Amino acid sequence: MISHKSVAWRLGLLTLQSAAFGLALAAWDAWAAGTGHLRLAFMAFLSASAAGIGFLLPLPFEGFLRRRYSAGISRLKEGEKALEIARAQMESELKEQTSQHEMAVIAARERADRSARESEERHRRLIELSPDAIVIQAEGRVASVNGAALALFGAKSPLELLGRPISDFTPQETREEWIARIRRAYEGSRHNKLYEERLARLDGTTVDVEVASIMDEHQGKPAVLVSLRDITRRKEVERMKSEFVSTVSHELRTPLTSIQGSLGLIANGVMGELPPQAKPLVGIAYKNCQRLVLLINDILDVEKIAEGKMRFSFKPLDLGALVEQSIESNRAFGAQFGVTFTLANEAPGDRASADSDRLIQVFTNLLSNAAKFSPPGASVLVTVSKRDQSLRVAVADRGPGIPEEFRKRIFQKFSQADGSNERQKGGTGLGLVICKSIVERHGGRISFESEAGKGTTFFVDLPILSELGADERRPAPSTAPHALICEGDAPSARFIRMILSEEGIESDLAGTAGQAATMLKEKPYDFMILDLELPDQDGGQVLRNLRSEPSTRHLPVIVVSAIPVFRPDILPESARRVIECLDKPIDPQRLHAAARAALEARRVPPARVLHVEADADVRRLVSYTLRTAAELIGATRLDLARQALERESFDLVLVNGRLPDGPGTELEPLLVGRTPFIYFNAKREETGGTNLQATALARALAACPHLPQSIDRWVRSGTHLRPVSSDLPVPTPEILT
Amino acid sequence: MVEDELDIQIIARLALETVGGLSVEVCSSGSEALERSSATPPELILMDVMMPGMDGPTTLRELRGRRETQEIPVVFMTAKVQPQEVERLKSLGAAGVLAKPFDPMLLAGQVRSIWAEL
Repeated sequence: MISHKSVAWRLGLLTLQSAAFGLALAAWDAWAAGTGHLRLAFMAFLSASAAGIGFLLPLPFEGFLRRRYSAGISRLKEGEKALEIARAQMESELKEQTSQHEMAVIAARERADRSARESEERHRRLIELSPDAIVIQAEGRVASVNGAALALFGAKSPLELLGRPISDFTPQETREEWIARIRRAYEGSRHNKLYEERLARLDGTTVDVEVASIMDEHQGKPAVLVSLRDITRRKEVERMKSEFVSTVSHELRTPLTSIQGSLGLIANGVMGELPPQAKPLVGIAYKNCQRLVLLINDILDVEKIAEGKMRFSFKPLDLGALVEQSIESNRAFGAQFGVTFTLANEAPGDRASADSDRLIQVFTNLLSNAAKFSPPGASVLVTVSKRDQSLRVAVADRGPGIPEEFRKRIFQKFSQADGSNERQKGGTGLGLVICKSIVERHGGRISFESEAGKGTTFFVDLPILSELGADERRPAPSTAPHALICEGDAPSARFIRMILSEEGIESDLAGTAGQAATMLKEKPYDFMILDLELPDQDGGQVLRNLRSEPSTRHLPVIVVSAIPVFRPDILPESARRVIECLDKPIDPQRLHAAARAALEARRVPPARVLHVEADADVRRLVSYTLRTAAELIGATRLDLARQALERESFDLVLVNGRLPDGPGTELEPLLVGRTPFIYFNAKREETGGTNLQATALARALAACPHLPQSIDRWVRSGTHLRPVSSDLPVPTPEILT
Repeated sequence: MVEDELDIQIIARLALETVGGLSVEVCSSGSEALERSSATPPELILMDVMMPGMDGPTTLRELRGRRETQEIPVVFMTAKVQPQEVERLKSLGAAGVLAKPFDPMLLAGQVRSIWAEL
């Protein structure tokens, strides 16, 4: 039995509990729409209260209590039920969400895994599918081969090749060259230019291959990926083509010998006087026969030039004398058209390095063209003159001039100004093509000026051959700008020198990187022309060396390269202050422009720009865009930027609005009033209205090819956050937003 | 003159005799040239390079190997006048190389000038 004392205690407790319960109910009503957590808390409390009520049920007060609290209890039960439902619902929702999330993570991981696997598989299949042999070599030994490589080397299983030194497969005579090329690939050179090589197969036979190699990694070690293409068939076709052209031309010449000979004898009256009606016809046949002979000769020449088989033997030659000789041998031809040649030699005794036969071929062509297009009785004026670094031969006629629309095509194969009139002048349409090739092989250049109705002048500019001791005879050191031309190919070097001299720029020549390094130490240059294919060192390395030397750190450089695939954007950091990259053959106009830009860059020391940006690609892009105007110092985080700003001063700071360790705006206290700065990629609310225009400017500039100049001007003006000038377009750039 | 093509024989004879005033004996092959020049050595031999049977260079070697003919200057006529070919023929001992097709009005003069340089 329960004692009264304990009943009284229970009653007291119950009163407390019921008070709390009432409170709880009121609160429950108020928070019925509350959050799940609150509901849980209340539920716990209410459960405790309910337990107390249950304990009291056997007491005699039960009926009273029931009556007194029946409404509350039933609401409590309802609440309890609702809570239970809510909890279950929440748990199930949570479970569902968690599982959804987990599934999404798993799916994403699976996708990533699958795509990595697929990509890897695809690469493997590609390598296997490749008709070119692919060999990965690490530490000088074959580390991996594909199916095509087995066939190329004549192996039945990869085991016959794996682990063997690559030199096992190169014929003795070219082995060193091969190894040097592989080494260059190891050194990360971008010289993955195609080259031809002869390969020794396992059975001892050889095969001609075209090789491309590039740096790679194999099991964490540096390796070289080599692609080899069997070009036996191509070589065979090339040989057949060359043989065919040679045979055809020979086979054509034999009957032509008979035709031309017969006609020549008849036309010249050797066989007696012809009837007057027959004479012009024989003349026509004879003339066209000669034309056919010339055409065959020209086709053979063009073929030889195309295959690089035209041989030149360069000797120092008195150019004026050579021109005179050409004029003499063409006087008779000129006379046929009633045209005389007049020579004005303003450069007697000046010499050029030339192949006399080939140059006579050029002058003969120009002289005969001039004669053909001159009115009868006219004189063709031939001038030999000396320019700064070149000798110029000008052949001026008084002809009708070259039609405007034809001027662009004049140096193309089989191009003759249209119209039967011109075609009747004879000629093959190949003469100027051959002239251009010959002149260019001399490191020279052919050009023309033409005015309708007044005449045409053709110019041949050849690099002058400097006399021994020419340097000593040079007057006082000139104030002309000075360039260093580091170029492995002598005719190219002379050509560049000639073009530069037209801009009033003096230049010294270095044939090797070693020579250039010595010359750069001896005197200062305004800029440098750098050939990437030097005999002694890779051009990329030369550039890196330049940048590591304080004296040449900012030297403007114009890069020239015979590799057409060369892309400036893949050059490393040393690309800074590389003004222009020119492919060979060099376009004189672009070289002129680049030289002017280089001199301009020389006058303006580069601005120092701090670029606060986490993305390496964006840093590289901006660095490349600004390479001529600025030296970019990169900082990937706010703290690094702060350190840099405290340590040194900058002309400009470019800040990405969003950085890994906080918003770019946090740098403002260090910048305002001290250094001009531009936000890249900042949100409107982060920068406040004042910087918006600067942001827009930055965006505009980033998408604008004049970024370097604009930045430079901006830095120099010394103003902070100058507004966008009205002439600047404000596009929406894709790259930096 | 050694030339296998009958047409060219006729024209070259006209060019050398009628235009150039030279006295010409014509042979159609290398072996015929060897035989006849051994019997009555000419002052100069003008010879085609590509001939069926014994070609020009072979005939030249044979000529150089015989006492009666070893001193006779030989001038080649060829349709292949690439510098390498000219050099090759000269290295074999040719006194000169003339291009085909030749100009019948100039042929004799060209032969005479080579002759004069010997």
